[in-house]
Amino acid sequence: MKNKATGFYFAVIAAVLTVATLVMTLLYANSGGIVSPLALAALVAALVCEVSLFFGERAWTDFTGIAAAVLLAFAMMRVLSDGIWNIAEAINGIKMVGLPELAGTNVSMAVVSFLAILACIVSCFAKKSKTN
Amino acid sequence: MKKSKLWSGLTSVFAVLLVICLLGQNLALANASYINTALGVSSSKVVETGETGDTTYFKSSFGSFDDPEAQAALLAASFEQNINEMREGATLMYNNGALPLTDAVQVSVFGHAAVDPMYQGSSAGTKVADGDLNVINLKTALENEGFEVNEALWNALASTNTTRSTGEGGFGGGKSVTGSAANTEENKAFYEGQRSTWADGYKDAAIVVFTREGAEGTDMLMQDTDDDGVTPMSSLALHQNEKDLLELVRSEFDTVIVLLNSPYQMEVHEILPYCDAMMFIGTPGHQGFVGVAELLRGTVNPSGHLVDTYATSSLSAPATVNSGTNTPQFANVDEINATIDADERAEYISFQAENIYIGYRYYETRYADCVMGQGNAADPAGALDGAAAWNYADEVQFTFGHGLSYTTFEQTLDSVDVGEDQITVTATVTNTGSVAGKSVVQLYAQTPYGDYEKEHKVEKSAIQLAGFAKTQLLDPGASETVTITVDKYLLASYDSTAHDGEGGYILSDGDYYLAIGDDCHDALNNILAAQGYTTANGMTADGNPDKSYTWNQSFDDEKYRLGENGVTVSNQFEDCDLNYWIEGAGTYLSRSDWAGTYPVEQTTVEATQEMMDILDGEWYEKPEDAPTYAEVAANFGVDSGLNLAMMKDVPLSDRETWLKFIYQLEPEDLPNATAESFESPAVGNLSPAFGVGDGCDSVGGTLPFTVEFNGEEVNPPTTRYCSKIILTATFNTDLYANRGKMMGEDGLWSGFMINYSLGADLHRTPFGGRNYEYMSECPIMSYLAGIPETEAMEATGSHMGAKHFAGNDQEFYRDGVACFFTEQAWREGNLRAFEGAVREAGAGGIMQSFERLGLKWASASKAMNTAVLRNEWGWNGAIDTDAAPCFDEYTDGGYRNHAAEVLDAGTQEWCLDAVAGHGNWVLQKAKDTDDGHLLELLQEAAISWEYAISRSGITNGISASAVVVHVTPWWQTAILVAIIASAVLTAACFVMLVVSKVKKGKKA
Repeated sequence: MKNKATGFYFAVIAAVLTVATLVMTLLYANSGGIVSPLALAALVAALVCEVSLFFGERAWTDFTGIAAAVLLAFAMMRVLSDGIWNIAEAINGIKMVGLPELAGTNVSMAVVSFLAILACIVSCFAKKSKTN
Repeated sequence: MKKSKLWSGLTSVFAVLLVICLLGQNLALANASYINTALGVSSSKVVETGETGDTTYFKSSFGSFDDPEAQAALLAASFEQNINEMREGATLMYNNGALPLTDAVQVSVFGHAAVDPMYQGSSAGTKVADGDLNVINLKTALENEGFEVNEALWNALASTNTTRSTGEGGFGGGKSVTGSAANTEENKAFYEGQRSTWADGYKDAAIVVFTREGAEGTDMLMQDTDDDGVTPMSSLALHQNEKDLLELVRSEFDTVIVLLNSPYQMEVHEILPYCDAMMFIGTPGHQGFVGVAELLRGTVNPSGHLVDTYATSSLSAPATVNSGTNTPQFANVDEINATIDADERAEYISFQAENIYIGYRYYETRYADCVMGQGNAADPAGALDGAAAWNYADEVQFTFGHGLSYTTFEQTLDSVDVGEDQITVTATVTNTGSVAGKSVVQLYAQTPYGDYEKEHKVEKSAIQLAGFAKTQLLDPGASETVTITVDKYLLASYDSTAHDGEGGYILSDGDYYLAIGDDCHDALNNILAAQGYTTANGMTADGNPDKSYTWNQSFDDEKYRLGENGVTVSNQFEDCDLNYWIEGAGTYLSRSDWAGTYPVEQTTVEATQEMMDILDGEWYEKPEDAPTYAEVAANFGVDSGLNLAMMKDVPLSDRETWLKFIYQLEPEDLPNATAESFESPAVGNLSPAFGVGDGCDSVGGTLPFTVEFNGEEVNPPTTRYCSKIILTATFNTDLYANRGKMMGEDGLWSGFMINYSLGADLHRTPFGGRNYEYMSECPIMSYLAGIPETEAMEATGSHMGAKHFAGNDQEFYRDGVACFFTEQAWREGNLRAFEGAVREAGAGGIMQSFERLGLKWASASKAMNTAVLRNEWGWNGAIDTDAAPCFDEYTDGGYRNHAAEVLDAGTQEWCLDAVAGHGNWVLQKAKDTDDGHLLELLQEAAISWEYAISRSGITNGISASAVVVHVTPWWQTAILVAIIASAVLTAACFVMLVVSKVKKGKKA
C-alpha cells in the first residue's frame, strides 16, 4: 500500500460506487424497473476498468481510466433515460405508463453513478502509484 | 502533474461530456414535445407568401389576444365560473338549522384537510396549492365573508407533517397518493393540545373539513386499515382520528359544520350524529372556497344536488366485488404470463357482475322490488353485515339528486306531452320559503319490466333520470315554469336477443311513468304511489301520485333499429361477455332474482388458449384484396395548391378534395398525423406543430401573457375549476355551457387544437381514483350534462376531447385489466354516458382508455371505434389512444403497441407519441409487407387529424397563401454544438495523451 498514490484511492472509490450502482440497478430491475442490458454491461465493464487501476501505474491505466468514466456516463444516461417516465410521473403525482414509486431509485442510481464518474475523472488526473 | 495525466484527465472530462450530450440528445429529441412546450418554442412556423387579410377565424369573446383588458377579462371570467360552480354545485346534504351561519363571527376550523385541502385530483391540468397565484384558501375565503378564523389553530394544523402521500411531500415536490385514509387526520392528542386556542373565543362554530384523496393510477382502497394500521376497514369509512375529532368538537361547540372535500362518497352516517350540518364541496380548484364561504354565511343559497349515491356501506354496491382494489387476477395468471409475455399486462379480470345496476340504479331498483315483492329483493344477499333482510332505509343515507336549500320550494307537474320522438314536460316551481333561491326540477322515468324483459334478460332500473331544469333565482313567493324535453331514445333498452339474436334497441310493451321529485328516491315513491303502493308495502314514505304521469307504449323494436346514415344497430360486444368464452363462468345481477344473482364472491376464470391468443394482441392480417404499397403510394406527392386555410370549410363528404389535400404529402409524412402530444408535430407542410390541452377541470399550461405576482412578471396558469362532480351537481346547463366556453377559451388562448376535457366515465363505485374528473354514477346525467359543455367548447375553436372513452372506471391495474360485461350494460352505461358529448354534441375528438373490452385493448376494439363510433353514431372526430409514448424506439409487442391492430380498429392517433413511433412502425410494416391497406389506414388517419385541425384555432394566422415551414428549435442547435465541441476536445486531448505517452516512451 505504501506505493499507492491518489489515483489509486479514487479508483477504489469509483469501484465501490460502481458496485453500489450495480446493486441498486439489479434491485431496481427486480422491482419491475426497466434496465437496458447495455447499461448493465457498461457498469460491469466500467468495474473491470476500475479494477485495472488497482495495479498501479501501467501503460494501459490512462486508457482504462478514461474508458471507465465513459462507460459510467453511458450507464448513468441510460438509467435516466429508461426511468424518465418514472421521474416525470412522480413529479406530477400520477401513475400512467411508468413506475413512479421507483423514481427515487432512478435518481439515486444516477447520483451514485455520477459520483463514480467524478471519482474516475479525478483518478485519471492522478497517478495510481508513486513509482511506475 | 505529469502531462500525460493532464491529458488523461481532460480526455475523460470531455469524453464524459460527449457521452452525456449524445445520450442527452437522444433523450431530449424523444421528449422534444415537452421541452418545446416548457420553453415556449415550436418546431414549425407559418410563413405568409401573399396578402393575408383577417386570418383570426376563431376570435376570443374577450377581445384581442394582445389586449391587456381582454387578458384580464379572461382571467376574471374564469374565476367567476370557478366560484359559480361551487355556489351552485356544493350540496347541502344535512342541516338541522345551523346553516347559514348568519350571525357567527369567530369560528375554529378543524381537520387537516382545511389547511391541506384536495384542491384538485392528481392527474392532468393545472395544479394549485396554497400560496399559488390566484389561489384563495378556505381561511381567506371565510375572512372575506366576515368570519374571524382561529389563527392559532389554523397555524398549528399547517405546521404538522400529516400527509396523504408517501414520503414528505412526495418525490420532486409532487405527491405519491396512496388511496389510504389511515393517519391522514391529526390525532386526539393534537386537538386536545389546541383547546386553549378556542377557550376564550372562536366558538361560534366549528367547521370541520374531511377529505379523501385518490389519483390517476390510484383508487381509494377498498381494504384500508384504521389509524392503528391493523384494524381493517374501507378507506371511505370514518377513521379513529376523525371520530375522535368529531367527538371533541361536538362536546365543545354548539355548532358543528362538516365540509366534505372528498370526491369519493364517504360513509357519512358516522358523521351525522356529531354535526349540525354537512355539505359536499368536492374539490374547489383556484377559487371555489369563495363559494363555500358564501354558502356558509348565507350570502348564497345552496342549490346543488348529489350526482352520486351515499350508501351506508361503501362496499355494499355489487360493483365493488370485482373492481377497484378488489379486482381479481385470472386464475392462471402465471400461465398467461409465461405464454404471452408479461408486457401484455393481461393479469387482471374485472367481471362486471353488477350488470346495469350501478349507483342508484341498484339501490332504488332493489327498493322498488322490495315494495312490490318482486325478485326476492328483500333477501339478505348483499345486505349490511348481520342484516336479516335487505332494507333500503338501512342501506342508503343520501341518494342521487338529494340537496337541501335555505328555503323551501313547491313543485307541480303541469303537463306531459308524449310525442313520436320526444316528450315535453312542464313543471312549475314556487318559492314557499323566506329567502331567495334556485330550485332544480328533476324528472325521472320508469319503463316496463315484464315477462318479455325477464325472459330476454333485458334489465330495467326502476327509476332513471330523464331530464332536469334549474330555475332562475326565485324570490320568496315567486314562481317559474320550466320545460323539459326528453328524447324517447333514452327510454329504450338494449336487447341483445332482439331481431332473432342480432340485437337492437327496443321500447318495451307496457306502462311508462314519468315523475318529478326532490331526488330519485322521492320520484320513485311518486311512481310507486301512482301504482297503488304505500308505506304499508314497505315504502319509506308515501309518494304523491300527482307528481307522476303514465302512458302506455306497445312493443317497438324498429324505432331505433337504424343508427346514423342508415346503419343497422346490432350486437357488437358479444365477446365481451365472459360466458361467450366459458359457458356459465359468470352470473350477472338480475332483478328477476336478487338473491340468486347478487355477487357474493369474486369471479375469475382460467384463460383458455383461445383467450390468450387474443390477449396477446396480434391478429392483424393483410386483407386478401389489399392494394400493393406502391399502388397507394403512387397517389402521394402531388401538389394541388391546397393549404389548411382552404380546407377549413370543406366538408368531409367532399372526399375528393380531402384526398387531394392529403396527397400533397409524401407517405413518410403520414406518421406525424398519428402523433398526438403536448406538442404534436407538423404534418409535412400541411399543418403546423401545435399543443393540446389535457385535464377535465383545467386544460393545463400557462396563458400567453404575464401578470405580476410577488414582484415578478409571470405567465398565469390556466384556471383550475371545481371538480367535475361539483360542476355536474349544479344541474345548471348554463354553467355546463360556460365551463365548456371558458375551458375552450383557455385552450384557444394557449394554442391548443383540442382539450381532452370531458370526463364521462361512470362512478362505477365510490372508490374510482379519478371519479373527481368524471361526472356521475348516472349515464344519463353524463349524457345530458356533456352536451352543453361540448357544444360551447367546440364553438371556441378549441375542440372538446371526451375521455376516457370508455369504461375507465378504476385505476387499479387500469392498464390492461380485462373487463367483461353484458352488451346492454355497456351500451346503456359506459357508452350512453359519452353519447351526448360525442354523438349529439359532436366533440372533435376522444381519448380512449387503458382497459380491455373483453380481451382486446379498448384502442384495438373495432367494435367500439369503427362499428359504434364511426358507423352507428356517424361520428368523424379524431380517436386518440390513452398514453402510449414511444421513446427512442418502437417495440413490437406490449399491450399498448400492436400498432397495426390499433390502426385497423379505427384508432388513429397515439397519445404522447410525439416521435410518431407507432405510425412510423406501421409505415415500415406497410413497406415490408407490401401492404397498401396499412398505408390507406395512415391516409385516413391524416384526413381525420387534418379535418380536426382545420376546424380549430390552429388555422388562426394562416391565409390561403401561407406555407408551413419546419424549424429547428434553438435548444437542439445548442446540443449539437455541445456535441461537436466536446467531440473535438475529446479527440484533441486524446491525441495529446497519446503523443505525451509516446514521448514518455522514447525518453524511457
